[in-house]
Amino acid sequence: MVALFVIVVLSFTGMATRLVMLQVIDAPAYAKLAANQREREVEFPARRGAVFDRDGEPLAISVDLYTVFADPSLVKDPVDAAARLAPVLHKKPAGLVKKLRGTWPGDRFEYLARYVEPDLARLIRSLRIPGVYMETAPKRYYPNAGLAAHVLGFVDLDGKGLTGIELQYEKILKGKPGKMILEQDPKGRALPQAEFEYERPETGRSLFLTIDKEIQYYSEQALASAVQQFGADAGTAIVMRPGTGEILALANVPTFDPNEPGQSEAQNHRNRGLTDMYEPGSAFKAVTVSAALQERAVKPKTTFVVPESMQVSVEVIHDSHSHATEQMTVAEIIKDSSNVGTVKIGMKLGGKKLDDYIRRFGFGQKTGLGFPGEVAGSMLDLEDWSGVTIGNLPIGQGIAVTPMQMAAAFSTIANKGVWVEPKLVYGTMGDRGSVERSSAPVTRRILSRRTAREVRKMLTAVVDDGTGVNAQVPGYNVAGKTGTAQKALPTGGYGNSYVASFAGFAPARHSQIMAIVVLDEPRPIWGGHTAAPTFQKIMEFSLRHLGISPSGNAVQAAREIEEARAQAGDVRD
Amino acid sequence: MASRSGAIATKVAPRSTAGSTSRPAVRPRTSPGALLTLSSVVLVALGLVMILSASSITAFADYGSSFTFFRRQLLWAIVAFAAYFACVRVDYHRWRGLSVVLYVLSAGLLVVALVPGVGLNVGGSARWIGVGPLSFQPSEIAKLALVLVVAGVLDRKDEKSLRELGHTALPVLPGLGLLAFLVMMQPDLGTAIVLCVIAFGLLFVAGAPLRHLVPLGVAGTGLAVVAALAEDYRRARILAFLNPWADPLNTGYQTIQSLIALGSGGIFGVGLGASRQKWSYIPNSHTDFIFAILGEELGLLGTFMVLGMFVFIAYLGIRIAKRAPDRFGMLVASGITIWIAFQALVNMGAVTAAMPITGVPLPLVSFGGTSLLVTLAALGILNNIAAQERKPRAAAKKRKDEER
Repeated sequence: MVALFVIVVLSFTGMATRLVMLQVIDAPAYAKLAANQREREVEFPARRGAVFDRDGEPLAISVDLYTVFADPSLVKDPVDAAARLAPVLHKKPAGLVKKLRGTWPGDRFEYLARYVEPDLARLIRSLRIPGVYMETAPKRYYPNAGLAAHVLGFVDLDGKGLTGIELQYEKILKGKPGKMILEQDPKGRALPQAEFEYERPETGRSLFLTIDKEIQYYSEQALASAVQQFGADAGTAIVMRPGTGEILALANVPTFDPNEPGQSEAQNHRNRGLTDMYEPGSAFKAVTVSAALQERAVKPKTTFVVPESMQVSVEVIHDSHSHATEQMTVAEIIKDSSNVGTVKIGMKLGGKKLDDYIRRFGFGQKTGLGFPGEVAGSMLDLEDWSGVTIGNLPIGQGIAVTPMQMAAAFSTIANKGVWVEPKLVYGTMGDRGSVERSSAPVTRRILSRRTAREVRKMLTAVVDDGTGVNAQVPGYNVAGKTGTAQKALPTGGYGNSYVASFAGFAPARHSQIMAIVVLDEPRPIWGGHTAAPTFQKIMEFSLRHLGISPSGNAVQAAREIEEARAQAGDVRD
Repeated sequence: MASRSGAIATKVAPRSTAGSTSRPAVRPRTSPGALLTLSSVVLVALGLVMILSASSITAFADYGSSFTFFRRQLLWAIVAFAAYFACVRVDYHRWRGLSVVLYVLSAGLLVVALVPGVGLNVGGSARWIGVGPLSFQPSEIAKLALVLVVAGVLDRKDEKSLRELGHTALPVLPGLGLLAFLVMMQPDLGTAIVLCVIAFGLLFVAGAPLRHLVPLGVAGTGLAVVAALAEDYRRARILAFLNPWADPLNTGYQTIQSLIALGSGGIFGVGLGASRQKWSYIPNSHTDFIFAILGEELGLLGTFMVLGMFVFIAYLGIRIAKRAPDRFGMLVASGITIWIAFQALVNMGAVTAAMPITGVPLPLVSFGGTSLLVTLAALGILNNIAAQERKPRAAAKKRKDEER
């Protein structure tokens, strides 16, 4: 009997030991296992921040659409349900009946319709059909369709930014998804007595762009009609504030509708103003002459003997049209866009200093916008120069730049010698209206005020009675430079196609607006014929839209312009 | 309850036919019988609460009411306690005569349970017989019948004949063998093992020499191992016992979920009704694995309380056996004690992964009407033996007399 009791006591003591082991010593480990197998995290996507233009006009917004789905196991009368749903969803009852019955045994989920508008969703809810449910499905919506499409970019089906601002500012726009941690049983049912954690989703911050919707729209229209009129392949137009670097418009052709990015070719999605480079040609002469003047290599009145052509190493440099050898001042060289003259200025400056200034103007590096896909352009390192380089570089050949880099360079001249980092985002705004401004742009002085003024005067002459007469805006002094450059072939060397451009600013003396127009393979090829008139339209609209007062009598000015254009013989550069 | 059962016990005592017992002059304030009743009530009540908690989800999902299993078990508990108090009143000596009837009845019912169409085949084993809306498990009756029959057989052996195998194992083995065989046909290895341990324990208590018991024990264990390995699902259970993590979603699933329940209960438990594991993580959470849910909701305090109650019942049972008025009473008391204590141990062992899963319920606590009825009836018999116990002094005197 005693033995029996001993056995009982021993075995139950063993059991007690086992229980202490499980419920005290190993308890935390098992509790963790329990949590692991039960806890499920449900994520609630945060509402994506909107994108506005500088005046608060919506460019990209997120709207709540609805997904309608059915749990066939809970649908009592599929035929009746389908009959009631069909007219609302604009679908045939037969197809709905099939889905409401379930397409396989045990089917508990069937999509009935996706991206249903809110008022339709309300209607469906009021039908109170058992087994038919709805869930919000936020969808990105670009109310102006293709407006600023390349700047905005677009999102994927889950609302994640894929290109453009949508991608660049993904973290800010996305917000913080909310989550719910709930405990569930093996069948996926939530356990009612479980502890329940909930974090509200935080709506993403909204962006204010520096883009002006009106100028953007007008620029796109003007660019599109120019591309069409001149049979160009593509084009870019940029409008910016020289003093602040704020980009008011960035238009590209070809374009697309970010609401339906799949409907257009991928090449249409490129923000060419930042992602594509071209050889700037004559427009680049502004950079060369700025450097030479700043370094006191030349003065505006310095004269050069300029023949029609000149041998540089193994190449012969030609001017765009034949002329007798003549004495030309630096100002005249720029006004007539003489290649030989500019190369001579460059030679006088010297390769090392030229290279230095080109880099200071921001060429060969990204602008600092941080825009997805932006390229740095391409230029030779000084040590890789050949003998021909000094015959090419001063006139914008043998260097590839983006339109944005050119815009920043011309803005420097407009801004009295200070380079300002371009800027697309004005600031961000939180859910409750808290505004945060973008950090002040990086600036650096490249030219003295005096040099800037001298260059500006030369560029004003270009528009007044040089190659840029077609860029004149009645009532305003416009400064600018044309460019027509052969396109480099992928195989090396140059072909028979050209990029035409015009970059300039107005009013010349106290510049408020800088604009550049680049056309890819227009006919005629000349920037003065194609890009300059387009620039003129965009500049005129921008000046008026921003309420910048003219510097003279517009009516009289217009008459003078007519005369100037009639007199101006040659706008080739 | 306690005082009432005490009163009954007092009333029963004079009807005792055991010659040497004298009516105690002063009864202890709480008799073993009263404590037994109290322990049973506590365990059954705790069981009912846990059944309600553990089965509420399954019951609601399957029957539309969380109380389905609880209500059924409550009815059984009322019937079972009626049987308990009836057994308290019946002089245990009458069971000697009834034991053969009970044995034949249980063997017959075990055969009936195996007949397809009559027996209810649930989950691949033919353990139940359905009568109208009721169903019961003949194997539970077989345990009680075996205790009584073996006690009856061994009661007649004197010390000398106990030394001979022919007087101990030989008369016991066929009786055990038939029941164990029928139970194995269901198949129900757990109950078969319980039956074997009852018989083995009774031989031990009766005084069979170790030279017989050890080989018998070895042979019995060997048979159990062979039986366990012969059947695929049992082999899987053994392997799962050795390493439940080898197949955590299949064979090891129940063990792991049970351990998770116990472990996440910790010392104080997650609170009554707050079990997560009863949400279909643990199959049979209100039957064989109710101890896991109890451990989760009530923690170590709960499991220790249940453990303590069984130790206490075992203590009472052994004390009652020791003071039993005669050898038959001693054997019956021992048999019942061994049965309940061992079955509790096997069940807890499975739940805590200290032993392989064999599918035996936790006595008095698990859901199951027949088990509750028969266990309480057996405890009633034990209580009756307690009521007839000798005064310690009288017992000592008797022992002295016998020694002379």
